[in-house]
Amino acid sequence: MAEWREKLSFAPLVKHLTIGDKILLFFLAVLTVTGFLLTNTLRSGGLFAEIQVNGRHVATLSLLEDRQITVPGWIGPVEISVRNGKISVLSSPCLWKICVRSGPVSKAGDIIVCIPSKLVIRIFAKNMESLDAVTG
Amino acid sequence: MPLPDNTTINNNDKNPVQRLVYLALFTVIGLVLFIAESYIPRPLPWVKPGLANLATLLALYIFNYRSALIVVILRVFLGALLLGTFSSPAFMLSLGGGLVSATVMWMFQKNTRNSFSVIGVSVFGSISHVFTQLLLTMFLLVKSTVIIHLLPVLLLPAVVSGLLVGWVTAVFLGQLKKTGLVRVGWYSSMEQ
Repeated sequence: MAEWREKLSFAPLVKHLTIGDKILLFFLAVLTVTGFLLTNTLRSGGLFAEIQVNGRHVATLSLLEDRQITVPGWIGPVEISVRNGKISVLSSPCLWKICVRSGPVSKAGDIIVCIPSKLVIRIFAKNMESLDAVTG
Repeated sequence: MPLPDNTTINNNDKNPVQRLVYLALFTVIGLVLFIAESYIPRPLPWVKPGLANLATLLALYIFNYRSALIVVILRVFLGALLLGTFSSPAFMLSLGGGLVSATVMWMFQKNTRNSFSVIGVSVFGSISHVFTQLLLTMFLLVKSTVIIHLLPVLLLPAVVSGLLVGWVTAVFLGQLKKTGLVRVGWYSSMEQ
């Protein structure tokens, strides 16, 4: 019973570590966690949402004004609403409704995807656009 | 046979042929890992395991800083030629990252009186690699400070992969030492 546990344990790794290593790793763990927390709070609320169907640009909405639009999806109309700076899919003719269940999103970089409708909603802030240069 | 602490044995003068053969082997190890890892699908385009650092660490611990630099430069140039990324931004980033991380690892291996084992040194290497690439991207490619937000996303995989690569190197060095073919300096706290 305990054999597989012995095989899976990290004891052989820990045996190599010096005190300096352990301090370094602890410091880095703290740094990473705080970094994650900081960037998550600093990440600005997105300002615009871009809607694409089948790779084609359909509309760009500002998240600052509430409105509701209907977009012609690949298999039927998709209702999209912007409320309180958040964008969500209200209804879609697709089977699984994953896009509807994605809920309202508001942060730059967030996306909602509906595969059957070939629909992508992507949120970006004006200053986040430069990130695409790296990805491409 | 116990060795004096914190010595990197330099067999240059005694046996240049041995050094030549070992450096060629390390370069090939690094090259194969470098090419193999370029085929691994990645969650983010920037996150790479950095397995080729194993070769640099081996050269650093068995020979010296100069040998590690030779291994890094050869690996980067040959890898770029084989992958077809020569003189592209990717090549520039991997050359810069490789040189800086080799230098940082050498400094921490040489000057910290055995405070850090090969695993800690490897973690330092992978962190400095990430930092260098981020700075190079920031100043040469994107020219905007927004990508500093990527740092924590990049730091976590860097630490984990540095840990694992360092571990593999420690095991490798242990086995190599057992064979008695080369003399290996102090590399981990299992050594006493």
